[in-house]
Amino acid sequence: MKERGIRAVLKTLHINKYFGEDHVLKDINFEMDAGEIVVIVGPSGSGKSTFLRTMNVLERPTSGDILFMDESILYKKINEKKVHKKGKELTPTRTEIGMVFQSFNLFPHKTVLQNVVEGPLFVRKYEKEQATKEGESLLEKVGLLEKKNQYPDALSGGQQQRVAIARALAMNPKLMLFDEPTSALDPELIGEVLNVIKKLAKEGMTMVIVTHEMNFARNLADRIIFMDQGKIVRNASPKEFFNSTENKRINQFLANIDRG
Amino acid sequence: MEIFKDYIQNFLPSLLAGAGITIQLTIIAFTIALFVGLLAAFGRLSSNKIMSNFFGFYISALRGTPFFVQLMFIYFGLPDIGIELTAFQAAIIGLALNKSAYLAEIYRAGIQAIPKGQIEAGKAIGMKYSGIMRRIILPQAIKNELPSIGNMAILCLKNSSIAAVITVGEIMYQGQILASTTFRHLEVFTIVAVIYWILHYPLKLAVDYFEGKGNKSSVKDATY
Repeated sequence: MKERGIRAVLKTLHINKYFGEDHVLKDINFEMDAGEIVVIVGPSGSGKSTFLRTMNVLERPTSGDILFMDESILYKKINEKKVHKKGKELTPTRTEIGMVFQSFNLFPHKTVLQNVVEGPLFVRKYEKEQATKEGESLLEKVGLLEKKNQYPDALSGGQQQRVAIARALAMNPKLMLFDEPTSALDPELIGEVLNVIKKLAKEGMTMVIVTHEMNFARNLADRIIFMDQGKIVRNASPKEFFNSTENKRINQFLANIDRG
Repeated sequence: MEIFKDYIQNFLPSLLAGAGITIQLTIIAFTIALFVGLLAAFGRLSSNKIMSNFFGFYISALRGTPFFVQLMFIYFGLPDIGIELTAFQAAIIGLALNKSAYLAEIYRAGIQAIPKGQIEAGKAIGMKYSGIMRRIILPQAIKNELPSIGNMAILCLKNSSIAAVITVGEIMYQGQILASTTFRHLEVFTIVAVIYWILHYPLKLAVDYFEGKGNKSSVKDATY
């Protein structure tokens, strides 16, 4: 067993999210500890990506609150009144939380190394020498040091996603969010990305991963969260999750995935 | 042929002097337009309603009225409210503002064409909006829009000929003087046209270059 931190790294309190009339997140309460790996699964449209994106306020919940290291990432207090944090008030939290997107979102006009050092240089204001050294060691970690002077469009999808992971890690985050990191990849490229994530798991990185890779979830997760129609339907260890048969919706989902 | 050579020898000195002023006018006005246009584009895209409406009106007014009218307004109209400008200053300002409106729309289209994921990736590493714009969005947007910007520079060069009506001594103005004193309209304006064409040519080459660069997988190169 992994050693657990004492306090919750991330805590969501009754968050709801509406897109117009659509109620996409319904009263979600969730908590995770330092060093924990939580995998979120569920059918498409279940709200799992939206939920993940609230964790660094790429989506702002309509109501409820999110605490990161015991501090609200959505609100500040002015004269005992809760006021929305806006614009640059959100950036301190985001520097502590890394995010990896389904579509990589590398900066196409920057080289691989420039992508990785962008945050350290211009957000953290590190010296160029230090940022470069750390950036190169991260690229080595994801196995792409020899590509450091290439532009993203010269890389395969799997390589781009590994660079994206290095870019997120360069901020030295306390929490990493993965939004379907392998869904846009050709099947033979999925393994190389999952291997990098496994490496991070071994180092004790705290992670929330939205994925359809059930074997990966089974082997890596400390907890699996199953979402359906905007709700957390189940929150269990992988062992419990895969052995449970009482929930029809989950069984149906697992059966469909197996067939795929 | 001998006669034509004579014409060229007689007309060329003043036309070339005019060309010098045309080049000055174009470079100064277009440089200003590049910056003012960027400002107007951000104003237009601003979430602040007043700002966005103001620059919306600015762009609409300048694109929706003839450049000729704008120039007459600045040079002959503004003195009535105490703003006196030399012909050259009026031409610079008129040309710069006119082109800034078109450039604003080019920038805006370029900025809006960048995928949202780029902004989100910037946010996710903790960048502020201004940093994301300056370091992530604008470099890509401007690069994509370089052919359009180059075409606007060509238009700016050619539109500068209208400054002749407010007596700026550029090439068209020199041509008109020569034509009306020598009555050799055909010869004079042929030479004027050729000089404009020569002046535009480097810009045209630049546009071709940008287009080739940004469009590696064009229809022409596609294999079927």
